[in-house]
Amino acid sequence: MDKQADVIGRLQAIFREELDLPNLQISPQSTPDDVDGWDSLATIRIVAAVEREFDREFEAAQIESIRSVSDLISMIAT
Amino acid sequence: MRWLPQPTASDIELSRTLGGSNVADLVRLAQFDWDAGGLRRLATGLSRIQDAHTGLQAVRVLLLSNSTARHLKETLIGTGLRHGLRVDVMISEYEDPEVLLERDRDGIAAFGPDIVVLAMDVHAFGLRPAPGNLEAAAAIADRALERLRAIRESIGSSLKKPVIFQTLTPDSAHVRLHVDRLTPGSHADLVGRVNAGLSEFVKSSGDLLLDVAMLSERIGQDNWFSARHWALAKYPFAPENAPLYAEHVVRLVALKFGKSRRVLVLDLDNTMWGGIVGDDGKENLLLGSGSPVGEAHCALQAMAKELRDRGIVLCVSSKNEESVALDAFRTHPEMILVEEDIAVFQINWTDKAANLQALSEILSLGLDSFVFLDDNPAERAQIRFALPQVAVPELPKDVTEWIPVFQSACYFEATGFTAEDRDRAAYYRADARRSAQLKSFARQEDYLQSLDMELQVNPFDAIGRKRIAQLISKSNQFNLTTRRYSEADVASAEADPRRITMQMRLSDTFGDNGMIGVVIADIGADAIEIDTWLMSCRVLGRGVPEATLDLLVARARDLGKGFVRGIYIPTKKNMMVADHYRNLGFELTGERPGGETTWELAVYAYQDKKPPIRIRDAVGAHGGDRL
Repeated sequence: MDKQADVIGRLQAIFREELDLPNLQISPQSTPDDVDGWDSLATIRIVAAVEREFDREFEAAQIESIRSVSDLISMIAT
Repeated sequence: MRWLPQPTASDIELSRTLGGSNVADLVRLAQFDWDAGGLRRLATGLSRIQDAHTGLQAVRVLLLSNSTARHLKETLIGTGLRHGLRVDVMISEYEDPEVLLERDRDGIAAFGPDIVVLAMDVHAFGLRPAPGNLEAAAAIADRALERLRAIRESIGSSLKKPVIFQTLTPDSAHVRLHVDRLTPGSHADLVGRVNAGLSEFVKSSGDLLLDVAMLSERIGQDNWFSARHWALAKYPFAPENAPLYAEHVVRLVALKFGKSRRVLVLDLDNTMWGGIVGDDGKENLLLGSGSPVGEAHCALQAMAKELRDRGIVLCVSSKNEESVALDAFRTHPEMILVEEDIAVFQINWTDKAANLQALSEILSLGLDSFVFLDDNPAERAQIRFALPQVAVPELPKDVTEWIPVFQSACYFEATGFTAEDRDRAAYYRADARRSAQLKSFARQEDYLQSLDMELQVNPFDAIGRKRIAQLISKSNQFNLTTRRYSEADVASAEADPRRITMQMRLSDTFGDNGMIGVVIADIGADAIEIDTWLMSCRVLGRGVPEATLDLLVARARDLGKGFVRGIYIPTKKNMMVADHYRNLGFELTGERPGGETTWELAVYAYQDKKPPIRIRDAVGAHGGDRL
């Protein structure tokens, strides 16, 4: 559980920075529909930042299928 | 970008908390090697500064991309800070430039770009291979070039602004074999043809060329392009290369606004040679073949010499006993640089920031044209802190690794290369000797007489065009209006019968100073109106403005005009000419908000100033010599 909270905290920092929304609060349930400015190109930027932050590289198919923050969390977990 | 220092944890923290940020902090932070995220934070910091007087040069860049480009916007803005620019960016992405230029004429006009970046990559042209078919190869390349020419024309029809073109880097999707260099119509051959044709075209149009092919070669084409990001989002290159790309784009933009590096200041101990001459003695210095370190220092000197041949002014700044260090410099048998290669030596125990400031004054070149090469991290840090406008490459500890890092920084970018550039280093050295001679004359006038100066004045012509445009784009200090004109503008002034144009060369007993002054004036109803008056600071205090005014007044008399009028438009850098017209006897006729002043001189009351300069005037109505 602590580990998941840590991941969400780091993701939140990335989302705030990439979307330039300093007060944004995200949860696993957040989707592009309820976060301002989260469009497909923002996903690319967010993923690039996540890759830097977690030292990972994701496949195009995975990135393509991101529909929520929880999708990102499970990609990081696997 | 290995030549930039890494931000420390506290720099990163500062970049995240740039609340009520100030410009000085942003400019200092911009000197670090940031990723796209860091540059975006700087861009955000800048966007919070509403004050129009940031001391940064405002530049509007229109970037036209056939693929995705919006992610480059903030990277470009953040990078601009590194070069003293406040960049505003309008991006058109994923659209053929031809279409956008037609569709959004009004939007582009409203934005008012100062410069256009034509960011078209290989995908815009296809360049499908036709291996073994020479005719098809030529036709495919011609079609691509024809398209670029048409886009240039379309831009030129509505915007009189310079364009940055990009060379192409090959599309990794195509077959690439060793034999392709030998095969007309291979993809590599097609890319080579387009790049060669594009270079020829840019040479003749007077635009700028961003050599993306060179950039991608430097870091490796496999690292340049990301197939994954192309597939996902049509990124023209891997996102981690955005800061490098932006750095090079902004450099070319800065160049168009008169910002270029022209001086290389070298340290001696452990930079010019291995070891400390004062401690180790000349005999024990590591220099020359026989040791890797000695060879590396030789290679560094050879690089400096090559830069000198490109017109870069070399100086030495070293903490040393002057006689000891100079003796080693003059007599060490392995030295590649000789005394004549160095414009000014500053060998003393003063701190280096003060020395660089002194060099800037001696050479009349701004500190923002300086690059400082020193092995000592403490000296580098001091200069970065005290003089953030000086470029200070971060160097690896190992001297054998310095050159690739230094070279990849590409500090000494230029808009072109002229004979003047080649000779410039010699001019500066002659200048330093002139100032030595000045000391031996009690009176300034005697000194000027002793120089035996001759001013050759010609109207603009095809031979001078490139150098005239270069002076117009580079001169910041002695420049009354700082109006920047392209080579094409210069050509049209040349042909305009309602304009008086002057290009001036000054020679003296020490040699030719090259082209040192440019004047453009409009012939009005009752007056000659000076549009542009600029002069190289190397010839300050030599009576050239006085001689120029004599010529302008003579011209007004010939044309039956009663007045000569001028304007002074203040910038951050041209304070030295704020009183130029007053000093020459003009009356102040108006003052506008922003500090602009207008001036007038009545021709009938004018007494020729006759400075001690022989004039050869080919501009005046009568032509010929005037003594």
